[in-house]
Amino acid sequence: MTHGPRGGAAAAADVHASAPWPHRLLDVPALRRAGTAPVPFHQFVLKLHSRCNLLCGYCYVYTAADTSWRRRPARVSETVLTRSAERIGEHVAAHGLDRIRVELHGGEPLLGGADTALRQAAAVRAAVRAATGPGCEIQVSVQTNGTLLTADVVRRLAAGGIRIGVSLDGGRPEHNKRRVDHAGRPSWDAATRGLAVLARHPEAYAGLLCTIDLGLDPVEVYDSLLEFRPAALDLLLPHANWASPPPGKGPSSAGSTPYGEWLAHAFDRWFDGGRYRTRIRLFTEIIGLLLGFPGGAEAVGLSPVAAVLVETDGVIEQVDSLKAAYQEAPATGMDVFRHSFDDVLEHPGIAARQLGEAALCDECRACPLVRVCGGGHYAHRYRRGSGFRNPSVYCADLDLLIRHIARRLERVLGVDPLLSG
Amino acid sequence: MSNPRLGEQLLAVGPARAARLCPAAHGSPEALWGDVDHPVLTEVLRQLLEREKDRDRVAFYEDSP
Repeated sequence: MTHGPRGGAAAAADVHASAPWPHRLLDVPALRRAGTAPVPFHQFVLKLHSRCNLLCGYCYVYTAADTSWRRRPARVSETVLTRSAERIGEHVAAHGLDRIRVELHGGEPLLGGADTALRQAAAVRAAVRAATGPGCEIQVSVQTNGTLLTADVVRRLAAGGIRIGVSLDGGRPEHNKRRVDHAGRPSWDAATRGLAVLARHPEAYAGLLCTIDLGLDPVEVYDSLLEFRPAALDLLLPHANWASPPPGKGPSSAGSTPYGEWLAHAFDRWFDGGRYRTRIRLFTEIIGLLLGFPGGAEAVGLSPVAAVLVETDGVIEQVDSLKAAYQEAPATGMDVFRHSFDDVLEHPGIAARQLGEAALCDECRACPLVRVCGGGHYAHRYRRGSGFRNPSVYCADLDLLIRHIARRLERVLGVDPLLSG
Repeated sequence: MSNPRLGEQLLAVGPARAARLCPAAHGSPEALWGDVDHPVLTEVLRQLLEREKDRDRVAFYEDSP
């Protein structure tokens, strides 16, 4: 393997030519001189396998603008696994962190078996302990498509303190018609077999991630997912931007709100359920932001994003969701062999996501919803030629959803309008 | 907008207007949401208060549990 990205930082800068903001326009050294300090990484996304046994129609890794996965080694090597762990330990020690999250990811991370996940988790724990002692809590989870969750795999991951999240787009086979293998065969049977096994280990069951399909009924999707008894659930907007609009929307229909309406229906079903059934991250975050709590998710709010990703070859990247924007969009030009995570904090793409309102376009900053919406997901702001300083391609949808939730809260709490304008 | 603080006798202050909900009468977190007669919102508020006490103010990657 090579120890580092091809072409280094200069080449990495060129790949961002279509995104002058932040890659050419954000002067990070000047930012630091002016007193804006970086926020240490708290979340490390470690790729265990760069391939997937599924080929979902909306996947932002394999079907979007970026094709960098083709040149990655399929499996993470022991060298990368160990070096990533050491870099995490170094970062935890340098910043005195008392809690971090490690997300084992892919592709399909379990293609390398439970062994790789357990070795990676153990390596991080050992490296952090060696660097700082026992004072840092390390939460490890794996995000999987569920098809490889056998009783043995789940038992071993649970015993190793690794929690398991599963991607599923609804609780019926027809909800998952986009989730197929490379021959077009549905993954439903295998995924639900895995979920049945996982349900017997609630201590390891982290929850479900569901990507929205406008062709499905939101109430039916929500109700059917509840049958899998997830403690947590998130409803994800398909990764899209102004250059690659989402299904059902386009530049000429930017003001349409099909995703906002879909989510508002799901919200009402959840909120009016008569009892608390599961945590839905997006709704919880919006409620919190409306009431003045700090945000904790990258989809909404202005909290600094504290996540970084290591590929199977040791290359350090911004998160995968940027792959929907352009070829090499997540690139930093750095790797775990030559660079610390502190080095990565100085990359414009990372720094931009820690600036809060200062990273947003004028239109967003003038919006009365800005502290709740936060400009939406960073990846959804991309427009070819200007970069990531635009309203979200889902702006109208977020506006509808946030105002809907605000009105529901006001009625329940008997308070004056939570939003002005 | 400000954040809720147990010691400030406020549960929450909204982005545009103050939303005084109910006092933290006995320093007990339960007292804060006891008057919110909605089971889902009550649990969400409990979780948000818990999270605020013990976590860093950062945002996490969406494609993770």
